[in-house]
Amino acid sequence: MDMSQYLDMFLEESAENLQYLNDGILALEKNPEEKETINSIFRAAHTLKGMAGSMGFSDIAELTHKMENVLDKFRKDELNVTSDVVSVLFKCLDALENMVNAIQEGSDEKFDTKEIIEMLENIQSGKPVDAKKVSEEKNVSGYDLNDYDKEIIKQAQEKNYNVYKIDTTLYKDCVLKSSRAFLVYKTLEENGELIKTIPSTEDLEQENFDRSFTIMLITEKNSDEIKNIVMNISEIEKVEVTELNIEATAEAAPAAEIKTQTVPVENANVNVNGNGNINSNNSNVKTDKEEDKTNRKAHQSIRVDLERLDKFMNLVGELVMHRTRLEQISTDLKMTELHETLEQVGRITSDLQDLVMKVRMLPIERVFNRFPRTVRDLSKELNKEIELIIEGEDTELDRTVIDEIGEPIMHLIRNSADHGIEPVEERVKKGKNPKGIIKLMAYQEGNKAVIRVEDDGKGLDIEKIKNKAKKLGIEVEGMSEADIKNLIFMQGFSTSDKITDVSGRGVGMDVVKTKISSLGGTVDVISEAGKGTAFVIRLPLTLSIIQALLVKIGGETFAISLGFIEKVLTMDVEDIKKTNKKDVIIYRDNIIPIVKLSNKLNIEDENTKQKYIVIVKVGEKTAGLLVDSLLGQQEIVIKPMGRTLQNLKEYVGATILGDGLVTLILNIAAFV
Amino acid sequence: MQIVIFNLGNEKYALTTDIVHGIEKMMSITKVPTAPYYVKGLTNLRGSIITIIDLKTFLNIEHKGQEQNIIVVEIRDERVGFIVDGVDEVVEISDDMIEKVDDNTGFVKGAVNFDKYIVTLLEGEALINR
Repeated sequence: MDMSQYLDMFLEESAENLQYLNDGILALEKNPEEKETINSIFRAAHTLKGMAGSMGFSDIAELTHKMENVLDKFRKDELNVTSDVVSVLFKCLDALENMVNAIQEGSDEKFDTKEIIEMLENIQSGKPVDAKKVSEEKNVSGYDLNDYDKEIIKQAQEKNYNVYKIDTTLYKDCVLKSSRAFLVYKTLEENGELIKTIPSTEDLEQENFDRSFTIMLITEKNSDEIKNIVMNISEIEKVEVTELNIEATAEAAPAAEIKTQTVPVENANVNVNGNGNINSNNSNVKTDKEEDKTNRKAHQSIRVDLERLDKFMNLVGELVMHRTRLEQISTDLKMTELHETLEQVGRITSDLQDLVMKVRMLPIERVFNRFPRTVRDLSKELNKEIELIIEGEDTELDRTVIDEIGEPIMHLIRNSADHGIEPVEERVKKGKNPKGIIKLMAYQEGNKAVIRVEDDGKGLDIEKIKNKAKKLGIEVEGMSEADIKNLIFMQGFSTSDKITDVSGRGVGMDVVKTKISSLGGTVDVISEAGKGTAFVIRLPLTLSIIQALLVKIGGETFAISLGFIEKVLTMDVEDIKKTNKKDVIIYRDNIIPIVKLSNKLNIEDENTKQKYIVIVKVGEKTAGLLVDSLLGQQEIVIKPMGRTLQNLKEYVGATILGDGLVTLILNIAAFV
Repeated sequence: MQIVIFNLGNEKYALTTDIVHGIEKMMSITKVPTAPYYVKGLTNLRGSIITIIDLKTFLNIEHKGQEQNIIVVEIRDERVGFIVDGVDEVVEISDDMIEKVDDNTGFVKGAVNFDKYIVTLLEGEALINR
């Protein structure tokens, strides 16, 4: 065992805590008097510090510690929350984020945190240094405890937790010393918070110790209890529990919060009961309860490697494929018994499939929660007043989509802030609220997830787009206004007069579109001059198993995802009209274009009069696809095509049908 | 090294066995409209979808002979099947038996002289990376 297996967890939890800090400080800036916010960010900083310390990332721990000092000043009302201080804190968070990222990428880049630390120290020393320092300098029982260890011990004692030094000695002939040590370590961890082990956990795991080792623990239990707990582990010769003492300073600290990450659940119950009985003014009990609640929640979930989930999903995909094949065989054989069993199997596979899909789903909050910070920074940078409103952040999407969608949304938000929202004076002149609003919304629509980025800015300038189009040699005559507006997603299309740092380099919008298409989604722009612009992203909820309609075109079978299909019509070929040399039909009082798939795919179609039109909707566009016949609806598993064929834009992939034959899945967006 | 010798039209060709994943009988192949001309289509190889390349069309060999086998090669995690006119045998050769030949396509590793006939040894990786 080595620390690397904890690294992933550390990275993920650090990211969460940093995000939490970002959110919290942002909220604090808006509402400096909110004590609960300060306390909660303080806790997040504390957790981060503890984790970094135990993983041996001392630079992160140190920086967090300094930041915590400043936060502590807020808490004690010794320092006012000002924009300057918040900016320094944000800088500090950015630095921390960079450091965590560097660890993730495995680079051993050293970050110069001196400047930030200095800034933090300056803020901190704006007021006279309190008695804390003095107590910190007292050495604790001769062990080499660093600043934050001492701080933890001090806070724990303020809160009437016990701090023990536990010396454990193993049997002389103990065979698996490291695993015994690990058991002790693990058991104690369940009963409190470990501060330090001597030797280090790494050495313990590698058996780099003789027979005895020392663990320092913060716990609610008394020394006898702890002793018994450790003695219950076999092959332990001797346990000595001694209390560690740092003189608690007379400093009248308000109920100091300490994040006791590992208070066991039984204790939580005791506390709840205790609270009911005592019903006193003890605010500690309340905080404990709250913390325990989050702890209990944490115990109910586990972290799973995404790769395993991917494998799981692939296996379920295979299962679905073979089930379909079996169903086909069963239909051919006409055996009732087989058929009934297969129906059962069918139900179970469907449930399994739903489950694995759900397991992979995450709320889009994960992506959205970084944007308030972005918008705050943007509004400072661009000197505009902008408010971000987020709605529907609990909408769930596949993990793959969540991972990829952040960047395009970020781009759209930057775009809205830079080009959409007007400068304050201009807004006032137009009689608009000086504060611009960017709305970020997510909701589910059928089997699609929709994300909208809206602003109430000046809207797209259609003349500008037309001019730019002409310059690029695009004929805009006869194009609808909506189509013209969607030209902004073309490569090299930026109508911004000046290139700013934020956007306008003409590489943005086409990247947005490419990325979203690669996720099987679409993006459209709706805009009204003077009123604002809305970008609408539509994404499939799941990626790999879809319901599809099988169609025949000139003897070949193709699959079309049901997600795009509005309706299917039967039609006499002669009823297709021509206008402006294009094939169209009238559908629900609208003229919609007809796409002859046989032409697009270079297949001879069957010479029949009676054909089918599949009405599809891609984003805001509707069209009819002409096919020879329909074969019915089926669940299919999308499989990627090999390297040789992957750049064919007509297909999203291929699938294997019940009869074992490979069928291509059409990429409808490429035809409409 | 081991090579697998097969027929394409009137000539004999070979691939080194280290890239050969298996030899299959002809299977039903789904056409892929709009694919490059030498791609015959896709097939279902025990649950995974692989691309099938018509090796005769690819190498510009006259279409004679019965297409009998698909040689499935695996290069960098990608599996591709080559249609050939029957597989002859697998033989062990030494490196010095490979003679350099004039070749401007990059698909040919060399030629091996077996007295009775000459075998053209193909470069599997180059065939896929076109």
